[in-house]
Amino acid sequence: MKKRIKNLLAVVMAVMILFQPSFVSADVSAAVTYILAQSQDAWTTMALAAADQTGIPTSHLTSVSGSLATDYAKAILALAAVGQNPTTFGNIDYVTQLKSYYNNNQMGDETLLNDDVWSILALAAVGEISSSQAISAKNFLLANQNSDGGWSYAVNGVSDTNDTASAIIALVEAGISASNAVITSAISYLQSAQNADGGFGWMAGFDSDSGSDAWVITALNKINQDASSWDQSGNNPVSHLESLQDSDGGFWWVQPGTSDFNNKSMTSFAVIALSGASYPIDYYQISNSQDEDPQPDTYHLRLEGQNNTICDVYISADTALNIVENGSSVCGYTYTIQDTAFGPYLSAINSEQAQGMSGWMYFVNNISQPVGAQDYILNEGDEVLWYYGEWGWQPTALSFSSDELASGQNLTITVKYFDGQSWLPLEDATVNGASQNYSTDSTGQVVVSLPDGYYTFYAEKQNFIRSNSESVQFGDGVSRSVGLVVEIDQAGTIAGESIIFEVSPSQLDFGKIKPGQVSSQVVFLSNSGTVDLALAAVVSGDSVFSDNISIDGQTWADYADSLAVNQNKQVDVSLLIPAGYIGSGIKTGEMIFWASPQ
Amino acid sequence: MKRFFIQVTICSLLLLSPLALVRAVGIGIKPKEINLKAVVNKVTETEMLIVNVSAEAAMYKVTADAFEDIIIISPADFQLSPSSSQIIKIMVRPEKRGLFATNISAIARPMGAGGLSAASGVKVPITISVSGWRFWQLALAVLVICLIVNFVLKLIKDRIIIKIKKD
Repeated sequence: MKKRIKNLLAVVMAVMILFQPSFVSADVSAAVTYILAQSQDAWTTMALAAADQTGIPTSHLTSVSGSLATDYAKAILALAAVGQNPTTFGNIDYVTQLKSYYNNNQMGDETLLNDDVWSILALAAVGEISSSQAISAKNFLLANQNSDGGWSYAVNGVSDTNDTASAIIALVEAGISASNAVITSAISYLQSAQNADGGFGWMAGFDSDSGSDAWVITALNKINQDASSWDQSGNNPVSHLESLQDSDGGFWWVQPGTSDFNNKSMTSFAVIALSGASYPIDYYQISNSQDEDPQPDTYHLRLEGQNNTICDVYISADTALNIVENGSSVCGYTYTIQDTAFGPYLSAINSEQAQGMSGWMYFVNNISQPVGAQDYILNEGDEVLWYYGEWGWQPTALSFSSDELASGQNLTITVKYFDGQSWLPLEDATVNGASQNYSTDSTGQVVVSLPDGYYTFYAEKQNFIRSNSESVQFGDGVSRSVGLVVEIDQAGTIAGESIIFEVSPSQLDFGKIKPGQVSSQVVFLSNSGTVDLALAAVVSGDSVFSDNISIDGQTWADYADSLAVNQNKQVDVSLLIPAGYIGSGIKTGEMIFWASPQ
Repeated sequence: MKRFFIQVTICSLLLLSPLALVRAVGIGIKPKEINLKAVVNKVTETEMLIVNVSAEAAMYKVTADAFEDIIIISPADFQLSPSSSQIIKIMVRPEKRGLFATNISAIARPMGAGGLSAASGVKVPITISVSGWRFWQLALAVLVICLIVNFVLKLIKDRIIIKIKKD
């Protein structure tokens, strides 16, 4: 009998050991399913890579919609995580673009620290941790550590757990030892911010949330500390984070039922943390050569559509046709190849269908080939150009006198076309860039002078193939990275006026008040958009707030006001605790100031 | 109770510190209103840009005040660091003709949970003008098609009869 029990136990233990990894990864697996069903961004890409997924969608990384250093840093980290080259994958060189945010010995906005953190990590991901930009950002971070050991997102800001965790990751990546006082004091700050439920809030004293748990766990992963050993009354950050996972695999922000505003937007951070990963998720080594240096067995593919460049990447392939098929997964286009009596024929890319005299033609090294694309076997260094147009159109090329100019210096742009034997100047070509159009002279040149910034140009002319796009830096290249208006204009695709509305402060504390007493706070409202606003307010949460808050002497439900363009206004928010109120303790609620265009 | 005092103390310190006075949540939205022309049972899509205009990270939630069954917003929940932005896709798939008007509401909330938070919300009016075939229009179209088919068949029949007579 004893022997049977022993055998049974042995079998049970063996099964447990065998299946332990799948038990551990089961939560991450469900979260991966959840993430794949969501809109993809740089964070989801990193999360899927951290969870060892294959076939990760990347088409969303072919362009960067924002204009901040962090926007490019995230894209670089995501691309490196999936083994893609951030200098060539997108519509521009993301690494060069990121470096252009170098500003007064730090990266990006001088008042912010989070852009330095992510710049360090992104540059590390592409083997540029020794660059002057990364070193300056590191020194800037070190100089702005708070006395409590933590960091804020902004210079002179109050420490928070999220930014402290990310600063630890960046500094360790930049070579600071985990035993260095900089890191140990930061860890002490995090320990002091841990809640009794084992989790972390945005700041010490705030309720625990999945995002903060994830950032702290990811920082501990970086220094090889087991987050589950951070025990608080039997709870730890990992158990707290896991407690927030829903049945669909997503991670709630806070415990369900504790906030009306709960959501699962932190799931990617949670997956990275629970996968035992940290940032960068992976590295992509870029050659130090000035010229683009593709990986072995990759070829350059450029697809020029009727109105835009559809793809511009280095990718592995066998033939001039096969490269179009392979580029589809990277650049996110669709294509149609038809079988004809003459062999396979590329009849459409996206909605650009061959019709009449127009269709998809190809060049290799700027020369039209006498064989079908299927039969052209790619050789080392080949550059494949497909364009939608008519037979006989000639390829064009755009180049600069220099790709890095001092402030105020003139840039000469040269446009040429290839007649099958040599490159010749292209007169009257339209050069597009810096939100302007320029026309080339008889020598194929145009001279431009622009404010400091980073600009991309390409050239077009009727019956010629659109040229390559090239980027150039004037001065320190940062002037375009500031301000909301600039950012919205750079997005370029959304027309119309803008609404910009800000409420300050974001947390109201009425202090400790007794029944019958009233406490007031001042809230500042500002309209820096281009339209006048009508204001209203809604208070929700605990009834002590929803029943007793008044704004400027009226109940919140009756509050109505207006805020003209460029106007700031302060309102008095009062809380009167009724004399007969029964209850005590901390109450939670939310006051939303709603703004609508008038 | 201990936590209460810790929380009150921390909040007091935050409010006393110079930075606490400037902690804010903000939201920038473009465009200021949306006018969509849609067709019954077809997806029409537009975009909206949301920018975190404040100097602190915030969580954003975007919802439609009404017609949630025909208005799909993606992503609806996301986090934005200071000065960063997100493009939202607004997809509409109406099932009947008419003019639909509501708001797209976007809220910026501070990252910290707990206490009384002040959030910044913007309502962007959206008007969806849906066109499509009315029942009588469909019926008329079917009738016209039937008449044309009938006419063509008759024509073919007449030609065949003429040909047979000639033969």
